[in-house]
Amino acid sequence: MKGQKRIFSISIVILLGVIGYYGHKKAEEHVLYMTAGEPHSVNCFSCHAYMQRHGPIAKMLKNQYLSPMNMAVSPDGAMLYVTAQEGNKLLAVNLNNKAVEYSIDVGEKPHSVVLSKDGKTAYVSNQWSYNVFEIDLNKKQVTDTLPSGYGPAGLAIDRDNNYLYVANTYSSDISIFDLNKKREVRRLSAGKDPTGISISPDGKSVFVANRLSNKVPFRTTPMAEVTVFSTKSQRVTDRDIFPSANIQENVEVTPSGDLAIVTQVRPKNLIPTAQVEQGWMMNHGFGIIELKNGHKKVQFLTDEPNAFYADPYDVVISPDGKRAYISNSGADVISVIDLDAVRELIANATDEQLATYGNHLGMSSKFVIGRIHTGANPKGLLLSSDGKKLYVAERLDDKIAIIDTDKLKKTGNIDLGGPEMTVARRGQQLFHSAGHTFQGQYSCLTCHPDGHHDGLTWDMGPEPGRDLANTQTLLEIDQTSPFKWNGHNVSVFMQDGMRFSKFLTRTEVFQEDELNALVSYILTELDLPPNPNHDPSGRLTEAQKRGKVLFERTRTNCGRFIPVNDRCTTCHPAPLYTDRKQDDVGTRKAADDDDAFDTPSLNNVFDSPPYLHDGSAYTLEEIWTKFNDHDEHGYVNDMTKDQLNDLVEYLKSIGSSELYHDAEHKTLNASTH
Amino acid sequence: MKRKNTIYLILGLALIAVATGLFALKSDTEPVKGMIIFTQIVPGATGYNQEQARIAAISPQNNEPEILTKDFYSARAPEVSCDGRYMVFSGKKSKDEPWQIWKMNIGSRETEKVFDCKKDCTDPAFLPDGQIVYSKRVDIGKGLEGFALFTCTNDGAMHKQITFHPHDDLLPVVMQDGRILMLSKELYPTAGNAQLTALRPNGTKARLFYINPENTVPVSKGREIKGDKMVFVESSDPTNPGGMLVAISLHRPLHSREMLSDEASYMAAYPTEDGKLVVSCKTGDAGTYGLYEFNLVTKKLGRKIYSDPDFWSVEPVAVFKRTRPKILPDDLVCSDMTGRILCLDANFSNLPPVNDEPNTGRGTIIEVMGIEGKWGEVPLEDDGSFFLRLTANQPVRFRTVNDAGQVVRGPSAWIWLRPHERRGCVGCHEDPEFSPKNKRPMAIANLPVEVMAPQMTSNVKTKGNSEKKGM
Repeated sequence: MKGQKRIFSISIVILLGVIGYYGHKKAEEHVLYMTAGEPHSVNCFSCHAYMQRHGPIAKMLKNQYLSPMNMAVSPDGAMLYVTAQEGNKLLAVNLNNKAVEYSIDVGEKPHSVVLSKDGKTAYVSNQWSYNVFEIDLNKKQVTDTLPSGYGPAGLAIDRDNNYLYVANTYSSDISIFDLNKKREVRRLSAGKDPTGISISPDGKSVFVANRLSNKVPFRTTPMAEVTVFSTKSQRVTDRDIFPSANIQENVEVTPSGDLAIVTQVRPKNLIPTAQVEQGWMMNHGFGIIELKNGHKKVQFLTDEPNAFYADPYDVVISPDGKRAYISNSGADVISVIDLDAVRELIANATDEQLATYGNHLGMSSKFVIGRIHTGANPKGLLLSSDGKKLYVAERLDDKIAIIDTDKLKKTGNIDLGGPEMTVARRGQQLFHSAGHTFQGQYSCLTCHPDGHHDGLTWDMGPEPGRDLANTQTLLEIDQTSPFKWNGHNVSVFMQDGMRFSKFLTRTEVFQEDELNALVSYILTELDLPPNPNHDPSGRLTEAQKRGKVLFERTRTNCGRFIPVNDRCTTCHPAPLYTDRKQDDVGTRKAADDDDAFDTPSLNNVFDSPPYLHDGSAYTLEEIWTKFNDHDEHGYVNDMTKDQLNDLVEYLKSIGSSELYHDAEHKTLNASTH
Repeated sequence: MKRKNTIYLILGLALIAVATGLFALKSDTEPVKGMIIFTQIVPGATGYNQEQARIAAISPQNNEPEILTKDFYSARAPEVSCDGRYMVFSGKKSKDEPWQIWKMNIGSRETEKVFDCKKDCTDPAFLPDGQIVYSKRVDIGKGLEGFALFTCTNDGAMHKQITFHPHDDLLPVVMQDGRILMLSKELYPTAGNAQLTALRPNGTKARLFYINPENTVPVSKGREIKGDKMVFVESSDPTNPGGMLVAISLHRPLHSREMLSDEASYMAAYPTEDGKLVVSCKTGDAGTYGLYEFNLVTKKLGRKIYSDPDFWSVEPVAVFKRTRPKILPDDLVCSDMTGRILCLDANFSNLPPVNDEPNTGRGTIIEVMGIEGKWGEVPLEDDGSFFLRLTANQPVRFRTVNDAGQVVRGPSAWIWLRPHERRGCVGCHEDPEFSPKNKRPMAIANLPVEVMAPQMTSNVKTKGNSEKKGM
């Protein structure tokens, strides 16, 4: 009996050993597969704890950060009001004791804040709530809600407090609110994704910086717009176009009104990404619109030949109009611009010379007079009324930096009270930092603003001119692997591992803890904004209902049976609206090496033009009207124009996958009938 | 009980032995605070091939230098690893043997030859991944010899040549961004001035880093200092072993030259752990080059660290642990014996028109020229772009020719491509501070035109030869 026990015990130990050995070996194989076969000690926690978007583990590992974004100061200069973008609060900071005095809950993802002239009322744009809150600062409470366009971001208020101007990013328009009537009185069409907005000092014009390029013909230079409208007529008076510009976040006009300055990224998406050296992939700087002399438009870089200052976000101008401060949010730097030097350069150059300045990396030495280092991800800037102090929202440190503008040095911080650093928060810092690309030329954010996409197609294939890649969103991709248009990357670990270093960042590969953090952020923190075309109650419009029937149809208009592979729902089943496979839908072009492409998710597809792997379809309609002659990309050629419109209306209504988990079963059932 | 005590005693002794060993190991490998390693050379000696040079170390605890290379005939060019524990240097045990690369554990003074070199190997430096970069004498064609850069592993294996042009490539250092910076001087077809050239450790993306348009040339290694700057010595007088101390901005090296000294009496500079500079300098009252502190703010010499009337003290290197430079990725494919070069506009150039003929107009053809002659010529696209696949690891130059067969501009400086390298040029010898225009070059509508070195295959291709890719 004793002997049997001993044999049993030994057997158990051997069994456990064998299980442990093979289990470990399998786990290693699994990790190697998920990380592109590179030696990488990603452990179980990397994927199965840090990468959880929901559930008890995610709750334990997540913190609610504040993420200060933009600011406004009270007329007496005593209080600073800060939008906490991820905390969904307006923070009131007492500048005398440098502490948060109180906070007010606002809508989702507050973006900007402006104050009435008397400083008694604040207006806060809630970018994901699609409204603007009116807040009585004496009562410290929200007193009214003004429904705006989609994605309200930048705010400006006129001198007499009669009108509030709101840049609506997602609906690409501008709301004008009559503050006396407390209602929107006009909606103006902007460029693409307007964000920053500024009134000229004479109060006559409003300038709006549009983040993304307007639609341009396939494989031609991006063209970003500064929309200008008159406060008197409330009509657009100018659409100033900057070639080769993208990611225009903010605009400001000098006190004398001679110049408007808009922050810009200058992408090099039309040339093969053969190298990074010599500013080959991305430049950063600003555009100037002359408002008094000749209306010239000139572009300058704040970069230098061997140092890049990624992701310019905000710009403010000193009261004397001699200096501009630009927050380079990917470089954790404020660039200080001598505007007189800029004026002189413009005045003394020929048009031919001016046209070259936008690509000249040495030019910045003529007008950049300082680089002030800040905390992580400097975003909104605010100058004190005397111009002596510059406040900087250090977004990913949950702090406000105070900079002495005489010494051009950071003299202190206001800690807003953010929580301890989590793995995902560290990843967020990495995502927004250009420190992990060669010479700091770009961050993840540069091509994925707000985690979304830049609207550009890049020439990133191993063979120049081939396998063009339309930038894809990173929002809610946690369930949509594999990645890349060819579907070769089975995980984000693989996507951002060694190959990422060789072909994109061109510098040292991420350390293991950095990669864990970055992937954790991408997979757990990047949510899709609410889809404005999707009724939260789940109700569809009549057109959307008709479109849904078409999306799920199994027979043509003539009653012919549609083969399963030609149906929309086969490759795009709810809730992700992707089968996560590579499918040949006849979209291969002469410059492509593959027939099949990874099926993209349709969640919030309305907001990700251009479409197809190479960005050749400007609109959803064009996918079928231009690139589906043989019904390989769904059976649609029998549809009437009205039916195609309905189908598109339905597609535009598809929101986050989380809306459809319950509907998954129904959709699949419907598709088989 | 007695047995137990004996066991305890043995265990105790073993513990003490292990602890002592660990302590010894630690003291062996930790950098010595404030140590400066330098080369003592015979007064007046110049160049790499110096007779009876020796490497010495001086530390705050010991005012007399310790000779580290006593059993060498000659040794020089010390470089310290970024953890401060190891030194590499070039040395030879006898007068007639070639210069070899050696490695020393600074703590234990143990020395080992990294590998056997049949020709002179000199100027080693540690790469951030632990490999070593060094200069080696090689044939450069046309019966000439010059120095090319090579890399090898820490134990002397996997030698790879990384520069391939008829230049002398010497004095490599590794910059914090991971690139190698070398002093490069053209030897063929004419002897050129030295310039600082930056390249990736796999030999790709070699680019001009610094050249002085005036008649002075860098003569020492460039050393990065605080404030994103670099210091080195520059000379206009080949008969003077010393030169002026110069600083440049790393961000804009070509247009930020700042003179730190007003006398041509410096031979080298190196930053110390406390942010100062140690320089090799000859002062007015001493006829010898000694080691001094240098104040970067006042631009004045400070305390004398060491001087010897019988030797010049040169090539100082401060021993301390510093931030490791970036390890740059290597995307070469050794089985591919070609590389690809895309030029966006060959007519965008700073080169003056040949023979000052203003009427040669725009170039319409690009000629590819190797050391032994022309490799081939290819018509330029209408936008001036060309896209070529060239034999890798071979030096080439380009020149533009017009429809009438007249040379418009060129030849350019020598370049080379590494296996499978993809390289882009904004223009042809253009202002290197220009980043490319965001415009799709016409040349990429076609596959790259192959132009191979004559020994590989004979090629004179026309635009129509290449397979159309279509867009």
